[in-house]
Amino acid sequence: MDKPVIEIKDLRVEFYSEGNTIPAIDGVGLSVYPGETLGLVGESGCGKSTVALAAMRILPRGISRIATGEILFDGKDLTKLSEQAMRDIRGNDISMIFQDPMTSLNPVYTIGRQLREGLFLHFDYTPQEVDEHILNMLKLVNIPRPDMIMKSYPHELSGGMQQRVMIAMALLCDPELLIADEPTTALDVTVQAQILSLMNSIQEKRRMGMILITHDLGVVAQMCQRVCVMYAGQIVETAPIDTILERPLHPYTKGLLGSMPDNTDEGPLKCIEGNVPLPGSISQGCRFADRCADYCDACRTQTIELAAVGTEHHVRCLKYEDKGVVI
Amino acid sequence: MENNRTRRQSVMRMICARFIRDRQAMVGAVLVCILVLTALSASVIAPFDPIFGQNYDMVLQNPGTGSYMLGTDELGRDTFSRLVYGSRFTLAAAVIPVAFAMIIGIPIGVYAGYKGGFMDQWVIMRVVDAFQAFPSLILALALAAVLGGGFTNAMIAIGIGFLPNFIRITRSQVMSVRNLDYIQASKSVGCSDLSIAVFHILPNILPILLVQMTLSMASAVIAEAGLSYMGIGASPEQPSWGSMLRISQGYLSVQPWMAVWPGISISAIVLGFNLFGDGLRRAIDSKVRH
Amino acid sequence: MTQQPLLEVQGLKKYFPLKRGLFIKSVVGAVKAVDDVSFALNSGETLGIVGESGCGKSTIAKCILRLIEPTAGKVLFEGKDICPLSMTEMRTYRKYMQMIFQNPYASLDPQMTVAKILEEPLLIQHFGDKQSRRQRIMEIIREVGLDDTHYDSYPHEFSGGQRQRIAIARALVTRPKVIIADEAVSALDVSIQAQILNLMQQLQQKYGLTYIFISHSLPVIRHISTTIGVLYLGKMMEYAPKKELFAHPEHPYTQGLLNAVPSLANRRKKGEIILAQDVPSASNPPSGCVFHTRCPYCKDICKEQIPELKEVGSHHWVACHLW
Repeated sequence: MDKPVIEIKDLRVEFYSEGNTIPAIDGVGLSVYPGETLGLVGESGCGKSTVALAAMRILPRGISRIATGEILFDGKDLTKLSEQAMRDIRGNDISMIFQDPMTSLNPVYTIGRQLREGLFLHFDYTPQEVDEHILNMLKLVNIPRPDMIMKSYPHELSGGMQQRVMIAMALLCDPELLIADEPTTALDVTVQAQILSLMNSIQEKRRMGMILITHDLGVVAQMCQRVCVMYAGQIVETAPIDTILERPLHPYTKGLLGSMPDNTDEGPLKCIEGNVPLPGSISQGCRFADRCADYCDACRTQTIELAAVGTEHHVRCLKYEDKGVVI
Repeated sequence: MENNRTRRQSVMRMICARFIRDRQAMVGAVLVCILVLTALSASVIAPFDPIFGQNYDMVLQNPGTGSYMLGTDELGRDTFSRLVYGSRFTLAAAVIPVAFAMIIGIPIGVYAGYKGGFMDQWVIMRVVDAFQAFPSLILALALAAVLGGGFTNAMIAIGIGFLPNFIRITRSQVMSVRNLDYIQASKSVGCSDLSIAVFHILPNILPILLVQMTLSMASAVIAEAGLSYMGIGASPEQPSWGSMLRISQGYLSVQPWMAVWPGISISAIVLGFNLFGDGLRRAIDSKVRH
Repeated sequence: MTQQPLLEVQGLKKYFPLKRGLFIKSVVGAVKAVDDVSFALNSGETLGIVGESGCGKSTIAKCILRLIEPTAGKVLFEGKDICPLSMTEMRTYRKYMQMIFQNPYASLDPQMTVAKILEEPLLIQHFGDKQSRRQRIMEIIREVGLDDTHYDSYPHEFSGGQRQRIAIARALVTRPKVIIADEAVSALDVSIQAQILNLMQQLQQKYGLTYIFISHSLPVIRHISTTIGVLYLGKMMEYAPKKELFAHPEHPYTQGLLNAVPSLANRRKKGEIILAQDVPSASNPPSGCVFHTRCPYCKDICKEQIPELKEVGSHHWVACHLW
């Protein structure tokens, strides 16, 4: 069994707002292996983007911090590294792509200039080597006329093109891990299909680990081998993709799958009643208890850990806690 | 089922709550309050008559001589009393031109921003451009000179000087709001353009306009002081802080304290309006981020 | 005997002029946001309009309600063309046609309470007195699943899903016949989306509403529509009842679209893409059939001639030269 590319253990991130401390994520742990895509799924406010920002150590300064936990990458704990050391890792060993390519690219610089920036920062190539490298990368991401694109500005490109440029930028330094935060949410569905297919093929060639953050279970089904489901700052279920789709255990996962209008049945969707709790409002017991169809009194008071219930299948739910082994 | 909020919070109340927590903003608010209270209670606070309380025996005295707390001027009048009565001019200078500019400028700005078209592009904005081509103080100066001197004319002149700015700011705010969904929703429900402008657009741009108002008040105070200093504006015996500064200039070598008090007062009140305005802007911004 | 359609759109066109020039701007071209779209809607139906960015679906919605004036075409409500009406005459029709907008954070006036927001349509339609308005508002608030206590609340006190419920309440308060939902659930999380879709279906049953549901999400359209229209760059590509469309998609674009949607049921094999390239810009659409640049079956005629909508099955229309 390979060693994981990145391993996050018991991560807790706190945000400060108007005198209050709000735990955005709590007790989050996951690992990604080379060549594998891990899906991080959840709805808005569940903290999935916070996990990505924490891993890259780019949480908003002054109003948030990593309270506890470890992020093990390449034998080091990223939470303890200096800013200088982190800068060497960002863009180089771990890369990230964001949701809206229009705002992720600087509108006043050409594409070529922005792509060169990353390479100059991390490597000692000559300008010719840099340009050659970039052109090869642009061809890899299926951008037609890469020499023209190098001289263009971001606003001259379509959304799909911009996202391909972002992917190229992320891959330039050949990272071991790629974190993609909702990379196709802002794109048309036909363009999304192209981008996802591209990401798949690149990952296979390079044996890169990928964390794919999304709210779209359909995308997860296409791309991921394993899935972590998050709710209100915690991971509530982790399993291989087939297991999650066919035998989901956590009531939230079941509810999420039932809410999707993907099926061909007529009639109302089996939705989850209620709303997501405000971050920090539930400190005790299960955070999903208010909305769960079969909760019991113990659900509100006991601290529930992630328990193993099968091969690589972990659930945070009292119903299964005694059946499994607490990690 | 919903968020745990029990108090009904209107947007205004939220902004006030944020404002109160902001120390700098409260300093500004306090300074402005002091000005208002002083102006209102001038006749009670001032021990001497500011214009006719002349005492030729006690001319150009230092602060603390007898009952003259801040000294006397060249005609033996109590500087403190003049300062206190002068606050009325300052308050008037802050309020009148700005009110004038807002009452006329905001409706024009709303029309220009909402309707757009020929009137907006070619008439209103070009007139505004023409006005703004002059530095505002020069413009106020020229207008005041044309209207003839005197405090009221100075107020009007300064007000006209502020008009283009209010028109422009209102217009740009209206333009940023007019395409929002809730405006479209009101249109789809059958709301007339006038109702939309008055009941939907205005209340939502009001916070920004209030910020502009307080900052303009600061400029108005300086403008009035400047005009009075130059002799266009309040006449010399009226205790406007600007005229006091002007008169004290001739006696700087003899009695420098005469210049200090009006100078500090003008600076303090301008600072107060600025802090107030900045604090208001911050309070509104953080509401948006919420 | 065929009943008269409740709402009919005939040859709807909306062109936005492109202007160039320094001071006096001259018109150099047009963005054809909606280019000759027609459909008919019977009472109780749900028409789903689906398409990607630039296809003109939101523009159609705004033209029907005359938030934007159409360049050409007719909009017939119960047989009467509402396009030439003045704004005052239009006001009477507004109580029959309402809209729900996409962004729940921008569609409610932040300065107004829920009560005021819901009262506005009633006031404009001169509905009853204060008492009866209050009653109607309370009724509607409960209908959409909110509490009586929310009467005096402000929009920022609610979550996205709850705000959308308020938006639905506002659309319902005048008891309209047609409701246009413009990406009404696109900004919501999946679990909230399900709640809102269920609510909309319940309300449709209860009040006999007719919906035009606009979305870019095929799974949502599939769930809620009875008839579906597929739009691309301002033109209707295919129009069919739901089951027919999904069972026999005839237009190459529809086929590509269906294949591109990531679904849980059929996980696409890697590498199988039908539609390459990006959606062309609406300001410079391809000649002839606007889809020909991406169509795997493109022939010469496709580059020159615009295909007409032809009936290829029962109530199934396709605009393609393959027929």
